[in-house]
Amino acid sequence: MSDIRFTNAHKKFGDVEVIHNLNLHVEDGEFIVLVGPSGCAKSTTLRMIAGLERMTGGDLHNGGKRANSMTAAERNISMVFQSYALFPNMSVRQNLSFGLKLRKTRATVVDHEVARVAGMLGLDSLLDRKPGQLSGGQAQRVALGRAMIRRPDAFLFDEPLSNLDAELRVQMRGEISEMQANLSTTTVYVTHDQVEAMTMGDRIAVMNKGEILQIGAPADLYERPANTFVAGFIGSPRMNLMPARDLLADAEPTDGPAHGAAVTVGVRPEHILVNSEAEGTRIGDAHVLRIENLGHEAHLHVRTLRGIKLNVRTDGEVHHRIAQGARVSLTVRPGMLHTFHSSTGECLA
Amino acid sequence: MRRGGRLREQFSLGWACIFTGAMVLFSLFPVYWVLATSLKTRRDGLANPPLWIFDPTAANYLKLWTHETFKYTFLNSVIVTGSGVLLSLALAIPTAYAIVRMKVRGRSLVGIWLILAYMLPEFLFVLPMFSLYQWTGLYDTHVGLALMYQVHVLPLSIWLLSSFFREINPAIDEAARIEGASHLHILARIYIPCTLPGMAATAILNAIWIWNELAIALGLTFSKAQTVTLGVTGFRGYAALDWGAMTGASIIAIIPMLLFALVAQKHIVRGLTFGAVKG
Repeated sequence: MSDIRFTNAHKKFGDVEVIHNLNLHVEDGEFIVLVGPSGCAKSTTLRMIAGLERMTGGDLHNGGKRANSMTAAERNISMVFQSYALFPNMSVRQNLSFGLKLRKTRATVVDHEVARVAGMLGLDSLLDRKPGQLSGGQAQRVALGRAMIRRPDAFLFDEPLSNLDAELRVQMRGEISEMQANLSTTTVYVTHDQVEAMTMGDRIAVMNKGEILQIGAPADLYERPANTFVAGFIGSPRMNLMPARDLLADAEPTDGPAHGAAVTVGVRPEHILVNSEAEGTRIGDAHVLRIENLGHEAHLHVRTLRGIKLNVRTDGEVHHRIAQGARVSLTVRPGMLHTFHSSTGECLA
Repeated sequence: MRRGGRLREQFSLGWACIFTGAMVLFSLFPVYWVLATSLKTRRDGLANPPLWIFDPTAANYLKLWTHETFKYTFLNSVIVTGSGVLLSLALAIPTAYAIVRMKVRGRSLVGIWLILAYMLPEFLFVLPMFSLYQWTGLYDTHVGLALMYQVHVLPLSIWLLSSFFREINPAIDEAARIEGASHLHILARIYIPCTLPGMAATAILNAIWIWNELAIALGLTFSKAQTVTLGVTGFRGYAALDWGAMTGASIIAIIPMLLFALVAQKHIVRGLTFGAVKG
């Protein structure tokens, strides 16, 4: 049993409280992603689990044991850092075996474990190299190996892919997900990249200003955002959010709420139909300001006749049908209009 | 246009060479003069106007070879420098680590104090310490000198080592802590090996300073622990100066540090320009 539970956790740096009353339960074997913008305290949360930061209030339980005053080493947790944090004076072999040797593991066992992990991660030919002689991807694999070799109760990842190029990031994303699925080790993964969050986690916790705003499966967060922050943060391109009156004044809503200044509506770019006769909530006509063609899809930047700018995601062939400056009609797919309270930002539906 | 540019470039290069050459001559002239005097006979050494061409003699060096007091002071300097450098590193390494990586209260005050202590003239400490040293038995001992030198070399060492330690990504010691390493282990297994050029530079700078120090040695030793700088001045008698022996002793006193600096030059430059440690 290696679940992680925060109960009413608080963290202050001096007089500034960065985490307010955090409650989070990571189930045994679960892969949870903490996602949010810079400064939302997601890394601080991770560091509190690791024992690198002390909580100023509340409780933390690891595997049912109260861990508030346990040292980092006592928690039997492994962490992978954004900067890899490999020991620069040690070879890959020494980096991998560092933790085992500190625990006075027998030399034959250490050698066996190093060989096992190196084999799993394709590091066999790199064992005698120093970190300075490794590429970013190789260094990240060594960091993963160092985390895996001790068979810890939980893995913590602090934006581990941020320093990698786009292609390698996609590859490593898959490798980390596969590794976690094979080992079934409780994992907490911090990122500000919502694509990583959506593709990797069993559940996602969206954080902002030291609070968890919503926690749930990736599809839940995408389909049923609890507030405007989550609605805007999850999904790429981001959800169009605006006062209902601005978007729908000329329209005849066939679904969704009544118009009103107190309501904010949100619609995802992929849920807006262009020049379609299909059923849905009519937004009205708009002018195409710009077309970004990505090949497999295109993003239309349009401005409605009431001056509201919207982002529309459509198929990559759209430029054959629609030119920049063209007038198009827009419709929201049935059931895809999200409504939020204007002042609190909370979901109304 | 291109030719004019090349001429201007050669002209500036010529000036730079002349200027650099003049600076080198200016700074090396005293050393040359001491060396030349040490190789002259007593009469040649005192000639007025000075002799530029002379028959060199090794007599002064042969005299020093059998001069027991000078040999003794030389050995004292080796002992005091060695122990002073080791002591400074032993104290400065953990202190610098604590300042850089541990949440020690008043870290900024320590930083200010280090700079102040380094800037204070060393003789300032000698007079008040004189009676304390006599009372504790540290007067005229190697240990007493090595301890007193820490007043000067320790702030410099802590300051230098702190700057080297700051170059290490803090995530590296966090990673080590999670793996189960203690602070002492992190220091010994990661920080010291990663900053070896910096350690060498610090040790060399400390050694040079201790070896060349005169004021503290003059105030806190009498005979047993006298260092080589005092040994050199010992050739100045009540009524006469043995210029030949004194200059010869100076050259011998310079040689260890000169060799040290030449051998370790690479480390000093690398240490003092110690860059980011690739994590």
